[in-house]
Amino acid sequence: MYSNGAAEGYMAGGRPPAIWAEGLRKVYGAHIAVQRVDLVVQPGEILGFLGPNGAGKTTTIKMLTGLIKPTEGRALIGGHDIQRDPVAAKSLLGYVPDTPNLYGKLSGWEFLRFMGRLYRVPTAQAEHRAGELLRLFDLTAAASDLIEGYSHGMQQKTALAGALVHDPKVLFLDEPTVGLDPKSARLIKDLLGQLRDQGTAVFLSTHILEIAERMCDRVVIIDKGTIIAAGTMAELRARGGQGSLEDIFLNLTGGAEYAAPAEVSA
Amino acid sequence: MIAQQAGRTVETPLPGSAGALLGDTWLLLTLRWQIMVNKFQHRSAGARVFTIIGLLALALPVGALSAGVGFGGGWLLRTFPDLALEGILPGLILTVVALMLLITSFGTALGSLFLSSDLELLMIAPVDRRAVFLSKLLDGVEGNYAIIAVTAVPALITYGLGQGYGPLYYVLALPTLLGTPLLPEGLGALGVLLVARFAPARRVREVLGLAAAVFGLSCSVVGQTSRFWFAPSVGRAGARPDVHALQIQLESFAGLPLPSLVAGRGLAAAGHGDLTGAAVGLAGFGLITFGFFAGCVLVAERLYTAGWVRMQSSGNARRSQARVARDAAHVGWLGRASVPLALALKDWRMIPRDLRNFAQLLGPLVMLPVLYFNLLGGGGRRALNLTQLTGQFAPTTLDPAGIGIAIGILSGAVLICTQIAATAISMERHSWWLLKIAPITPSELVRGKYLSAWGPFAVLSTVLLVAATLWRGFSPLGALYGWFGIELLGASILAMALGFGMRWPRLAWENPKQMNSGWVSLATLGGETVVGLIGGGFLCLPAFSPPQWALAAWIIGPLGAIILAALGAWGALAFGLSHLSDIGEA
Repeated sequence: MYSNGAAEGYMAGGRPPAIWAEGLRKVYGAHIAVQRVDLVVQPGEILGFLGPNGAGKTTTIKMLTGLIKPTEGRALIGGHDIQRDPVAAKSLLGYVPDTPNLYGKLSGWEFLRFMGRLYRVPTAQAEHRAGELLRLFDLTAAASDLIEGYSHGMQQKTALAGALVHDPKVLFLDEPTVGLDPKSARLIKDLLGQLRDQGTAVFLSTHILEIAERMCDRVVIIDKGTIIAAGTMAELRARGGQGSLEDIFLNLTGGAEYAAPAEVSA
Repeated sequence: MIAQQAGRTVETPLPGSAGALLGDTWLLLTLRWQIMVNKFQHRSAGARVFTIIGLLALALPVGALSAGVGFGGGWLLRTFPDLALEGILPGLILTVVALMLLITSFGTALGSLFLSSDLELLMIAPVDRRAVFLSKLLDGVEGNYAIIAVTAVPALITYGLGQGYGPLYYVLALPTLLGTPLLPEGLGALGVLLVARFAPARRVREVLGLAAAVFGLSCSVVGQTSRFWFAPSVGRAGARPDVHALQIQLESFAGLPLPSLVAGRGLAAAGHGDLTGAAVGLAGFGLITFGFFAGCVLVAERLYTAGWVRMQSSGNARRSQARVARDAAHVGWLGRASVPLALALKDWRMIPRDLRNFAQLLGPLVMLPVLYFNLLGGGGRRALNLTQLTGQFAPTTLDPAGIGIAIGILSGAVLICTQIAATAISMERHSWWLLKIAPITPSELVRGKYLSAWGPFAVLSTVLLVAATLWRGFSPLGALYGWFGIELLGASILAMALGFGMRWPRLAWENPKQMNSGWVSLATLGGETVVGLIGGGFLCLPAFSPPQWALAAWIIGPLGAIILAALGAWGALAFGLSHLSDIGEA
């Protein structure tokens, strides 16, 4: 787990981290969704953000991206406070939620052009980038159709294309492979590698532990709103026992206790 | 069939049997009722009280009107026994109610049969698909019975009491009323099943929304202007309605083999203790109604499954490579616009594409004939003739007819465009996150959303004013002043609607009608009234001031209107902006 001091150390280093969060907390009435989250993600780093259902993953992502205000704490994107300097911070980030919820009455082309304008990408650059992304995600043939006619996977890929139009420095992905066919899922894995090479920080929330194990430089595990483990795979093994990330995850979150009875009753 | 469940033996009906069908249907219906009860119970106490009060406020006047119709009809027939229409009225009441149910049944059936969110779950569950169809078909049955309870029951009771009918009338009225919704529901479902074979259900829903709006608009316009169409024949002095002709028309209508009319004749016979007549009438009704409904259920499995499967694969199968290439090459305004203009362009593309949303804009047009005919004295005897009224007081500086036309244009254009402004945030619905996460300032967002409402307003109001100027031959200066007043007050009212829409947005809606929040409508109406009346009063000062005060009136009038319009717009926008960051927090 990162301490405040470690976070301050990253900030003092000169180059701002891609994501920096300190003491993020979110309370809904009597329910504490996120207890206290400290995070640092460097440019060119892929961070896997894991946790059981209802652990606070999406709430944390929403606080980091400025979609909801934290009850306490603050988050910086590229050194810009997401609450105090939102325009500068948001211009650096891209976000793909678990459920796309795009504008169904826009075509794929119109949506990407609209996103290009929202992120102030020069027209020629946006056109080139949109065409490239449509080709990459195999959406060119459907680009003139309204998004409401797309399948879930196509909408997911359109959302990803929209998040990449402005070439973000920080990319938040919440379950990006849900609903994707194997070819598209593989494409996203390859894309993550390319983004890392280009210096883009990727914050990846996923339940597919194989992706996290293979793709992520570091992994953070959250449970009941609190980060319970963080580090490289080697560091997690040292703490959570030998084995796959799945074993470590189940050991840390208590899932292993449920696995055996489930097998017996099945 | 004997099955083992959790260590105990239970007997279940054979799959496909009538018992299984009824059992599954009952299970699905009770599940839906449970969801309804849960929804109500999880509301706040205040919301529950408001719901009950709202329903009573709607039901009591309609029920009273229905009772009045039944009582009045009975009195009329007792007073004029020569009419010999006694056996017809119960049938007419049932027919009117059945027609009301038929009008709503197509939309209800479409929503429940093809657009419910639980369809996939139910269609793959090991339940009889006919049960799924049947339970979905009966989805709106509570609503239909509520309509019957409010519209038909009071009328039939008061009619029966007035005619002194015996208890058999009331006893047989109950199964008749219970059976009345079945035929409209069956017809609506059949229509939906047939349409779903050719068109995607979501597009049908949009077209249906637009058709309903156009139908409502047409009815309203015809109703508002009826005195002009019928004036030559009805308005003649000394003309009396031809009662005999009316009686013949009613009798020929009552002879139609409609189940509701057949049931009505049976009920009237039951009222007199005529058991044979009652049995014939109600048996005919039951045969047609239940027979048709049973037929629907029997053919449903194949039609419904085919329609549902089609909906699952209703993608965009036919893609034109030429169109794709053209769209790729044509950047258009959207690809070059500033952030506010891009937001407005996005809205202008989306609103007409969702026909249900577009239909919302047509609603306010219902008011236009009222405004034009009544304000401008279009010929009605009781209409407020503004031209004559203001002409009595006003000097000739401003044309009173011009003021009336300006009010009409302002009202019409504002009525349409406040809908866009008030729902500017709500229309984002689940896609609000895209704007919230984008690096745009609140000012850019407000400018974009304002532009999407103000743009159509400016175009519409200017076109209407130019047309009115050419038609009435207003002076250029007068037309310019009128245009200034319309644009000033309209711009302020739209800003207020946008501000209130930002304060009380509704992002969770299924039907665009639900975008409108009550608070937004109320606050916008208040703002419109204040700015429209006081601001309009300021602008009209030059028309009503004595000649020696003319110069002062020409300065104070427009200046006062500008200050009021600016204050109204600024206040509401500041109010809305202060809550902008809270939208979508939950």
